[in-house]
Amino acid sequence: MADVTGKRILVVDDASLIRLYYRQALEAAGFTVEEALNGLEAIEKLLLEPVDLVIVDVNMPRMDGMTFLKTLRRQGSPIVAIPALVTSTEAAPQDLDAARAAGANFYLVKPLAQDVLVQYVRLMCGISA
Amino acid sequence: MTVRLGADGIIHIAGVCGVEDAEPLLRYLLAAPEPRVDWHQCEGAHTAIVQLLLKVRPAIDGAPLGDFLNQHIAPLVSPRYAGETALFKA
Amino acid sequence: MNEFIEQFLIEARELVEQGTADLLAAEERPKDAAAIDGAFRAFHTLKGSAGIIDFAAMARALHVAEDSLSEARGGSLPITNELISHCLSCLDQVVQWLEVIEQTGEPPADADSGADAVVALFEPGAPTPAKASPEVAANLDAWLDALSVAKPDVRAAARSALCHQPDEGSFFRGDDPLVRIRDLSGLLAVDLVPTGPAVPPAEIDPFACHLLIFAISSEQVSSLAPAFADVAGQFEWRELAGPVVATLSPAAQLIEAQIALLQGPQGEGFDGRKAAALNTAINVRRAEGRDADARHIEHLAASDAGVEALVDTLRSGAAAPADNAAEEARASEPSAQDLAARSLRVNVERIDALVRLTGELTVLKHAIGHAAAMADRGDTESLGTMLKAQYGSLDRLVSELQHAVLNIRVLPLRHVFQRFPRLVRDMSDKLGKPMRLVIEGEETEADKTIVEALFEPLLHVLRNAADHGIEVPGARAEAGKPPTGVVILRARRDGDHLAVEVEDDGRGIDTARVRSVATERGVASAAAIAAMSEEAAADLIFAPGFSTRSEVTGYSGRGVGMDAVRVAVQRLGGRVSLHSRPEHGSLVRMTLPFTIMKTDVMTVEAGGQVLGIPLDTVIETARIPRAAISNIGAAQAFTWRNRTVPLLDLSSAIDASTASTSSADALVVIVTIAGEYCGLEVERLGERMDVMLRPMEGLLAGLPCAGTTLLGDGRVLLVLDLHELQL
Repeated sequence: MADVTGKRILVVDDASLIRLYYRQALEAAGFTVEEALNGLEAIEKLLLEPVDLVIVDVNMPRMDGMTFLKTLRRQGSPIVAIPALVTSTEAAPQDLDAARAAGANFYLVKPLAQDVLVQYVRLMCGISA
Repeated sequence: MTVRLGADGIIHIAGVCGVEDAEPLLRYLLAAPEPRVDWHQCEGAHTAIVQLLLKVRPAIDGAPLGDFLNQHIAPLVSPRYAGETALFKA
Repeated sequence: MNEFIEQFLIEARELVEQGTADLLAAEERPKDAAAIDGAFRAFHTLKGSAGIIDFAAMARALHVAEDSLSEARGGSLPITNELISHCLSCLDQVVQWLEVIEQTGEPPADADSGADAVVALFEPGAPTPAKASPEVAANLDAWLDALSVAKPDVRAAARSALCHQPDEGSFFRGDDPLVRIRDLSGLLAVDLVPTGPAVPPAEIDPFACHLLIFAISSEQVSSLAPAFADVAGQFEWRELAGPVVATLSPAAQLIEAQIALLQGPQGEGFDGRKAAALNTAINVRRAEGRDADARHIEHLAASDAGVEALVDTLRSGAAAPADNAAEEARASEPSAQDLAARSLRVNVERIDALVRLTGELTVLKHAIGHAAAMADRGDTESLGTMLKAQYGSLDRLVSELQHAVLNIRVLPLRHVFQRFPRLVRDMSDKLGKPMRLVIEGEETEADKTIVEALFEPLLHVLRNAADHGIEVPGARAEAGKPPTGVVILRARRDGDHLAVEVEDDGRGIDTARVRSVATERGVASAAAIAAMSEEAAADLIFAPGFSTRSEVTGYSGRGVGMDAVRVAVQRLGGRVSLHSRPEHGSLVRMTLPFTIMKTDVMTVEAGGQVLGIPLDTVIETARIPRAAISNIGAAQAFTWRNRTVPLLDLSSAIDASTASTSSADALVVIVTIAGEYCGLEVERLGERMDVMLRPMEGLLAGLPCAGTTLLGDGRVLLVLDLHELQL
């Protein structure tokens, strides 16, 4: 049950470098990785096919991470309950509070080591050590 | 007088001690076989004073008046705060 | 080069360009929220990228600029010329670093001074901290490690750390280092360590400072460091990561976060947040191997339990089993792979076209295989028709493939145009002439080689327009023009060619002055210059040796003149022309081939060699009777359509040892070189071919050739560059 096979992660970030960095780390850990460049694209992708976890940046063009999360948490089943991990360069308590209020399940501050990212992602996807 | 040698042989530091107090303090510290300092009246101490207390490590009586000294410096200079001396030895 | 570094370079360059464009747009239209937003985002993303490749100095420099842009975006800081200039300087520094990274493959180690300079621009009060010795820095690391163990709560609350070694003589200077520490805002902890040789108390010098002072604060370094601006000694500042709950295992942190989410406001979207929190909590419990707990939460969620019951369930059994995930993750960490390759960003559609063509070629290969089998069997009845049809398909496919491959190398001119707004802005500042650059047709595409080679010539022309074209505001007012000069940079497709123009609304070319300068510099004889039309006189600015050095200013007139522009454009196979309207402005037009790789040529034979002549230079071929050829000195000429045209024997031009044959008629290809007609005598005419040119390399590089291509029989075809032929 707790197998990484088939677990899909959607990385929502406008920076291609971040997407590549996360993709490499997650694929090496056995995940399947999808990408979206902004919140709008992410919502569209999720409506087509849900994933097991979304990793969201805060600052993005067209639809930012906070608006994306608020929109996501107003959708219906099954995508409404998809765990969301926010990664951001901002580390102030008010940034964390804002993400939580929008519906983020966890918040990690960038830059982020690949092993740390994988560790949290595995936990949030229910994959045992 | 901010630094004074009491009749009891205890060195009293009081008020706000400036850099000029470092010399008399060192003299008193050297004169006593087992130097003892009471700084419960001390509101502020120049770095030079604190440095002497750190190097000579006399016995320290009382908690200083000044907040900064009490909160951040006293734990470092007083052996009474066992386990809370400097975290790191250079 | 490391894959991330490579990706980083590509992305960072794009972000610098985007940031520059948005900054300039924001300066021009301070009310345009999209512009300042875009600039902010570019800086923000760049900073994030710098973090990924562990380039702290770059992140630091971008951080201060980003902060200011954030304030500007919020309206608390006006968008001034100064702010934009500082942000641009920050990007300049970034570009310098990018160049180093490009060369060495890693961030420069000595980037701190550059970052300090950028920080100083934005925070004039901030000191440029004296470089701390490595020991001081190492001490701070060790101290922070010790602190994390001894007082994890204090460490977690800290945002900055300082190790300060006051100068030995600081007491004499009247400094009291601890007072500075006492006054630090957000001070969380202090530590003091005596340094220097251990001496008996009797030898202590009470007035020499021998201390290492450690301090941590909940404030950021940028808000603390200025207070130490005038203090002598060594400083090592450290930004610390935000509030971390270091004492909890990752799983416990995640559970706490879900509890916080459940306990949050129950406003709009709460059902969704609650569902996501429970879902996450269930996953975490499963990952920990606590399936019973996970099922319990599932059960509660389904029964619509209240928040308190849910929180209690999540809290229960807080003592989670030891978390081995971290160790495992670390052990299985993939080693960074070096995938070195030069990269080019290509539109996916263009790749798709190549994939489709590959498929068609495969089909054709099978068809030809079939034809070969038929030929083997002696079944030749319909073979000719079949091969002809297949040849037709192959011909079409090869031409499509050529087209598709060339398209990969095609770039929009935006790549070169977008560098100019910044440069024109600098020229405008330096020359004290208000100027606006208008860009048109930046999406026009051309071969990458051409696009990239256009920068230098365009820069020259723009400088010339700024220097000599646009008047100072006073003169513009007198001429009845608006104070801001306008320079238009324009690109468009013009049939098979690419036209790039620079137009200004300045004073136009002062032909009288050009004539006098040209005469003075001996560009041509005084009589010839005097006899020139106005247009030809204006064109003299492109002549070699013409440079109005009496007007040398900060920009143009640096050694090379407009003649360099003409040479550069001709080298690309293009032409430059100039149109000037006195008092109204001038227009420089560069006409360039769309691509320099694919050339229509006519093959000829001369001196036993097959040569290609670019077809666009060929006017016609003719047989000229020897009698009609006259000798003018050492040269030959003939009359063609009432013109006297010089004749060049191509075989002797290629190889002087070859004697020309004396057939009754001379076979001549009439070509045009730089607007002049010329006849080339050849031995045989070949056919017209569409060839892909390879640049000349090695020993061949010195020949007057535009490039080479392979012929069907394996021979090499040299394609002549007529401009290089000595006539």
